[in-house]
Amino acid sequence: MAGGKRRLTLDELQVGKRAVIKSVGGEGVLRRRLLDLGLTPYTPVMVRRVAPMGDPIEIYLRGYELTLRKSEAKVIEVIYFECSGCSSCYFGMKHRCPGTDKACQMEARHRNHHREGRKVCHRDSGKACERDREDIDEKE
Amino acid sequence: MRRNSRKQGQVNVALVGNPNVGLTTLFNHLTGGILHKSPVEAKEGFIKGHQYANVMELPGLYSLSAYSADDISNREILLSGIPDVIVNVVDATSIERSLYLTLQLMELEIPMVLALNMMDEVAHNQIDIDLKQLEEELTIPVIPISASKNQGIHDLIHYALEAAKNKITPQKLDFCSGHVHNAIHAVIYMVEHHACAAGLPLRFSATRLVEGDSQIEEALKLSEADLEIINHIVEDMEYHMNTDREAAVADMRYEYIEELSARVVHRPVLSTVEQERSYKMDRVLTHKYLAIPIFIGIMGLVFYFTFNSIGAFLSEALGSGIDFLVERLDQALEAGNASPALQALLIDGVSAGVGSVLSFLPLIAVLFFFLSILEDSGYMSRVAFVMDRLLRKLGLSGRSIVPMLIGFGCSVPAIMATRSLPSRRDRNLTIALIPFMSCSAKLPIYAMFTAAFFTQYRATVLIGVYLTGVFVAIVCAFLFTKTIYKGDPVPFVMVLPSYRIPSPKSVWLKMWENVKGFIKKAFTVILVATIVIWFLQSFDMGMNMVEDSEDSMLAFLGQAAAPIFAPLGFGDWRGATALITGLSAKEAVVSTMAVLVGTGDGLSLSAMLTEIFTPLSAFAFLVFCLLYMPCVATLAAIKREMGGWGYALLVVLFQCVVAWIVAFLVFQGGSLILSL
Repeated sequence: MAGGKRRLTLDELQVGKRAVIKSVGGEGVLRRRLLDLGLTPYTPVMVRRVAPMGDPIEIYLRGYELTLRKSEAKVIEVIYFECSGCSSCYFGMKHRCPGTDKACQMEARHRNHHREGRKVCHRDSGKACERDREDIDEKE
Repeated sequence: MRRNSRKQGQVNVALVGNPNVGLTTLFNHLTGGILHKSPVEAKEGFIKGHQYANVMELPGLYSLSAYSADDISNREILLSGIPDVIVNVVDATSIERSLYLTLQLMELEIPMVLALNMMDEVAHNQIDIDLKQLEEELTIPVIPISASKNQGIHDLIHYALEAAKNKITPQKLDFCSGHVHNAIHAVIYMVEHHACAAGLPLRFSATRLVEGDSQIEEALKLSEADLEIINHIVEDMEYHMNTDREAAVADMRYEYIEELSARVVHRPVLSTVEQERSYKMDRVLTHKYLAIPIFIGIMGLVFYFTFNSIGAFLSEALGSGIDFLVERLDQALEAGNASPALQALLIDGVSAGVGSVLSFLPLIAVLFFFLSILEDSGYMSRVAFVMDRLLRKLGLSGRSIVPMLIGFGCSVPAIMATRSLPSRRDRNLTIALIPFMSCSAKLPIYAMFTAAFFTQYRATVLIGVYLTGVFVAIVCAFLFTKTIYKGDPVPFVMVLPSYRIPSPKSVWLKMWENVKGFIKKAFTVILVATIVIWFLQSFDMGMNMVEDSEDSMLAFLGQAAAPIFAPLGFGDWRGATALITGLSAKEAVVSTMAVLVGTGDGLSLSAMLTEIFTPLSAFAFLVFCLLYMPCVATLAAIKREMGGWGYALLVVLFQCVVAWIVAFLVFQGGSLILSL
């Protein structure tokens, strides 16, 4: 997939599919509200359903349900992953994920890197975090 | 913003939390639902058994950032120095999201306790929350409660009042880490004196400055140089974090919460029983094809019960009860030799006017009973979810649909129901459109005219009138959103609560609150209005009581106003007079017409009407009745919800102009077509 990276946004994600938030765009009230509700980078989300007229959508994250319009979901860039063979994988509880699933592993590793990395980042200007982002992009 | 009217020894308790975490239920348990007047935009009452403790319920909020008008007023209350203790209500089944607000509230350095609500659901989902550890981590008292089951409330009151008395503020504020930590601490060091001088909590100010908040910048009176240094600090942080300031701070908070809840909360399964149940129910209730028919069905049932069976029955019963009392009063006055003027005032003016309005009371009570159930159960959020697409085309949000539909019954409860809308803009816009939904009080007018002019096409004409109303509302919505309400559309982003069985107490209190408001209105605004109209109707210009209303001041006004209506095809003074009396209540158009045309008998009334109106001008008259200014009760409701006569009068003027233009188009356009 080298070179051919396509931006995937939350509104394009199909019902039942899961993804990890990569970045939250938008501005003003909308962005503030999204961040306040916990749509921060590296948070796993799942699309629950689409409203009868095709818009808005309902998503699941951090153990609760949220609805937003497709135009609002469009500002959220996500990284898609298939979560297979890991029946107990629960978003928002990745620390308890048994780690049999590749995506979960990746996620857990990322979190750890990110945390340790921050201590490192402090000194070497975020290289650990940078490396890890690329890691996720590759899997995509 | 500081209020100095605080009584000696009074303790102010602020209830703060996300929407749908049970704030209102808890408030009702604490106060017994007895409110007193609040100088700020919050609900206030005294805690039962602790009369010195004043508790205020703030509207639900997700964070202390100040973007919308509601957020700003919330923040102002919290920063005003009024609250002595904050009771932060948290949904224990969804702790991650709720603690985000908690961390921000702690920065305010006000004594605080955490009320973990919905512990009953936590228990039967076998979720294990280590309360002791949570308490240690957050350094504030954590009290498990269940507002719906009325458990743990006494403990909560005890700890909250203790905290207020001993002024125990949260000990630990440092939830930050890494670069954000460095930035916040650098800013704290810089603005310490400014915050002290401005009377703002230091930690809160510093975090907000790092996040970017022009209001705090202004309040702290920072110099250009200070701001520049802060910008440098923030830019440095952004560079190292590889993200912007808002995301960096939000991420930092959530990261702390994730770690905390990993240690403190242990769940055996992924979703709670309630979430699983809601998920299954939503498969039907928000189904692709079934959702809208089910919604129409549910609203249909609510309307049927309200306007046809239960509500109508109670309304009739109350109406005849009032009639009975009025008759007794009449007899008593007769026996007491009261002056005929006084008797006429009390019987024909006050009793008839206020009485007829009061007989609507059961309708309002029944309607709000059902609406509270729909709201508290969580169904209204789904309605917004389902209908949003349709309403967005008009610049409204999905939540506006319910008040608009109620408008077909009666504008008064419809306008009161707009309170559930989260943004001021949506609320104002919805209120301005509601009067165009033809209310049930206009039905007698339609009935009278269609019987006289359109005997064969009654249904078609009726549907035409209703559709005209909807059409005008749509056009006006377009006009509004393109002009005065252009502003930022408020994000729809909304948490979907799980379906829950509503608590009878809160349903009852919500209903009672609306009923009380209505009664108050009936005895103030409406009372005055009916007296004025009665007076105009019963006296002539020389202040002599008239036998025939044809000589009254009202008729004089009608004659003066008649030329205005001439281009609409009904320049007769009787039509104009009827429209004026219609301001008290729309049914009055019919009764006035009957009186002025000189007969109370239905058949000949039709005959008389055909002398004044042509079918075309009759239709123009109906359209005008549909659209022109709302009745006094609606006007009072608009004034109350919008908080001022200015806006209410603007709405009146706007509607009269719209009504005139549309009726003009109908009549002139119709004449043109007929002459072809």
